[in-house]
Amino acid sequence: MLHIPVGSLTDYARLILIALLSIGFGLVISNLLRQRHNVGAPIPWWLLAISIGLLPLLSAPIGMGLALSRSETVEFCSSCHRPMQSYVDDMRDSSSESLAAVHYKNRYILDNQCYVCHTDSGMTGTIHAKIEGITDLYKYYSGRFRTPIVMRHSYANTFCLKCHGESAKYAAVQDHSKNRAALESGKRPCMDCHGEAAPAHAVRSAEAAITKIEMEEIRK
Amino acid sequence: MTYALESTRRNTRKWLAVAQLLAMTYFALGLAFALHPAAGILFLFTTLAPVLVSAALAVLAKEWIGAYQRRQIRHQVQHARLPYPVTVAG
Repeated sequence: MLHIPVGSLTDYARLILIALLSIGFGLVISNLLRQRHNVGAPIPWWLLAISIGLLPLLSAPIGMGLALSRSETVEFCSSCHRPMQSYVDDMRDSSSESLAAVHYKNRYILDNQCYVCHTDSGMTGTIHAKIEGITDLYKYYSGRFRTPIVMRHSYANTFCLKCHGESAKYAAVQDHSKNRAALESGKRPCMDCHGEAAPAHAVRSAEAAITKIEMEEIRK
Repeated sequence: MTYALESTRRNTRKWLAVAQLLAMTYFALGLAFALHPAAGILFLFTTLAPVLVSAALAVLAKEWIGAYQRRQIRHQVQHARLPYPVTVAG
């Protein structure tokens, strides 16, 4: 029986991107080498149009889409947020009862767990996350950060409420309906009651308060 | 008839080589990102790729327009040196 490998759209996009980029790279290299050996020979314009115009214009949007998608994976987040590796390990620990681990092992969030729980919903949430991410990357590679590293803002209630806000389980809890306005406005943080169930976030100071020298070592 | 850019001009050859090098850098950066999507290479790809592609396309367009204009001028000059008299109406 014919076996067709089933992959996600991202996998296929990656394969198409690799194929387009390889063809383009090969065309440009062969063109440059041919010119080097045969100086003065005319270059067919269609070959230049394909290698410099068509292939980059086809592959760039795929690459950008893939970059957006890749930047949401847990692996991507932990590739920079190295001091938070213990938090990622805790999330994947089946014996852990932290909020992250409970969400992970019960498959409440199928993938991109860091991103889903640390961004607001909708387009503005994505844009805000990307701006913060680019700022972090700039500070990380330029070394323009101050130690001890502290969180920009506390964990927003909207991160929880975007999923739980309308759920029956959430509404059934009396405290939630009683404090609905305070919870929705953020005056009463979710972590007031659920902070202990999220120990990774509660103990941030121990790991986050690393010195600049330690940060340099991590970056190396 | 071969329809090709006039690469015999040193300047055109130089600029076309620049455009191809820019495109090659983009392809190499893209391949590095597609094969190993770490944060650093992703950042480089997303920031540099549009710049590299735009610059390569701009150079190609500039040279193509230049070559087209040169062909047009040569065509006009060839017509101006016709061996027979040209009568102009009116």
